[in-house]
Amino acid sequence: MAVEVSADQVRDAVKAYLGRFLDDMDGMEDVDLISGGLLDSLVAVQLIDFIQNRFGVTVDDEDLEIANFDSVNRVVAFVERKRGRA
Amino acid sequence: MSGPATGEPEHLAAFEALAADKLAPLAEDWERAGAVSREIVPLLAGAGLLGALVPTASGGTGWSHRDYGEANRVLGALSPSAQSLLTVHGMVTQALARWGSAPLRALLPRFAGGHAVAAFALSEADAGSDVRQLASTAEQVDGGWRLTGVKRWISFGQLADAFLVFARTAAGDAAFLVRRDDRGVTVSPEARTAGLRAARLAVLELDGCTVPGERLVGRPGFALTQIGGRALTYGRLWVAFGAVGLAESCHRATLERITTQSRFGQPLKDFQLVRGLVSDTELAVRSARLLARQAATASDTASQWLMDEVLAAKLAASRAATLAAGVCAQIHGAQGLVEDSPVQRRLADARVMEIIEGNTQLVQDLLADQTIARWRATSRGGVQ
Ligand SMILES: Cc1cc2nc3c(=O)[nH]c(=O)nc-3n(C[C@H](O)[C@H](O)[C@H](O)COP(=O)(O)OP(=O)(O)OC[C@H]3O[C@@H](n4cnc5c(N)ncnc54)[C@H](O)[C@@H]3O)c2cc1C
Repeated sequence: MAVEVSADQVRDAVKAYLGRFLDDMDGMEDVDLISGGLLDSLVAVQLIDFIQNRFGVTVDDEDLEIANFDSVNRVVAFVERKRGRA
Repeated sequence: MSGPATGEPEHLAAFEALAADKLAPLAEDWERAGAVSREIVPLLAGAGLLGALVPTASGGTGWSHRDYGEANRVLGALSPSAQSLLTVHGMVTQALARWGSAPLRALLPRFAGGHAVAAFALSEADAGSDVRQLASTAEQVDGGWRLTGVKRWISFGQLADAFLVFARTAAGDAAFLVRRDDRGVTVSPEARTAGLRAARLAVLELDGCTVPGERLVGRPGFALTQIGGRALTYGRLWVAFGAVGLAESCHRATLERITTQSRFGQPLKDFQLVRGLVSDTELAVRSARLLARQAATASDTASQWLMDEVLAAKLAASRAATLAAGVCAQIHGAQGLVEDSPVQRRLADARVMEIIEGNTQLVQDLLADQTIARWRATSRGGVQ
């Protein structure tokens, strides 16, 4: 369910989540994960599920733009936008 | 709603009755003839299965994944070829319900009612496991897209009215719904495979086939992940249930044989080495069934470990089918080697389960990622 969290909390949660699949997330906030080939395609699917379930936002088909999901900071911006805060 | 004794939902109990009374004799004919006939379509639609993965609000019957899985298991025991129709039609209708444009979603009641059959057209001659090698292209043209390429090994392509086709565009990988009656589409029978030989495989040739813009499913750049990757995750779950059904039918044939045949003055069931085969198979089948059910529940409850559960179920179930089919063939001696016999057919079907929806080695590789991720999540006390 959606819970109120700050942008920093979203960032930490996304980093912790991706840290399950990538060896080191330190300093990776702006690295292109999908276009850079760092995320396996199944993990990219799981990332979208995670965003929906954890932050209570819905990813619609028009949201399917690489720009929304390619890096930790882009995901944070996407979640903020979807939650109507940015 | 509950069935009489087991707490089983009524729609599932009704399908099991249909399977026993009607589908079982038909399945024998289909398997012998090497072709599932179109008469299966209204039967499955009438049972609610062709719209099972479509929400009721979109014209489907909205079954739980647990119930749909059980139906796949039941049909898989009768005919793995027929079961594969549930796999591909289910994958495509579910993808359309989730990502389709409004005009595409408006077609869902037709798919649910069995007025149209959907097939999944991802593989090509050189792009099977490695879908990044996709060579089919879609070029944006005035008002739509022009598709060119050859898709291979399409289960039920011979019967399908529509295909979910994956192709490259200038903006990345994309998925489209292509109709059999679109101009530039040619469907022809595929080389007959030894396993799933009744699954009506087809080759789909797209020769500058032009489709309107609304046929794009999702957005370019996301087809292989969000559309295809997700569809394959569910496809793996249905294959897992189908493989459990296949394994169960092999195991039953083994038990029938060893309890009715004697050699060297004693029933086969009393030989210690045979008893080892029986208990190993029992263990494999039983654990695969539990893993498949657990994975379906993970899906119904939107578990964060869905991928992990599905990969484990697919690996266990396809291997259980291989083991059970091999033991069944061994126990049948020369009888088990007769061409076209049910024992041989099951052996060939089991082989397919380790190839489709991710070959065994690829699934092992993906499962290792999930295993490490799950371990990291718990050992680091990471996000839950
Ligand atoms: C009966 C049947 C029905 C089918 N139905 C459909 C359908 O409806 N739609 C569709 O799009 N496709 C369908 N297919 C195609 C199927 O998805 C492919 O056959 C499958 O993806 C494997 O691809 P391939 O045959 O090109 O084998 P390859 O990719 O050439 O793989 C061959 C072998 O190489 C090894 N290998 C491959 N990748 C790896 C890896 N990453 N790690 C380690 N080893 C590896 C494995 O041992 C594998 O079995 C069907 C196939 C069959 C046989």
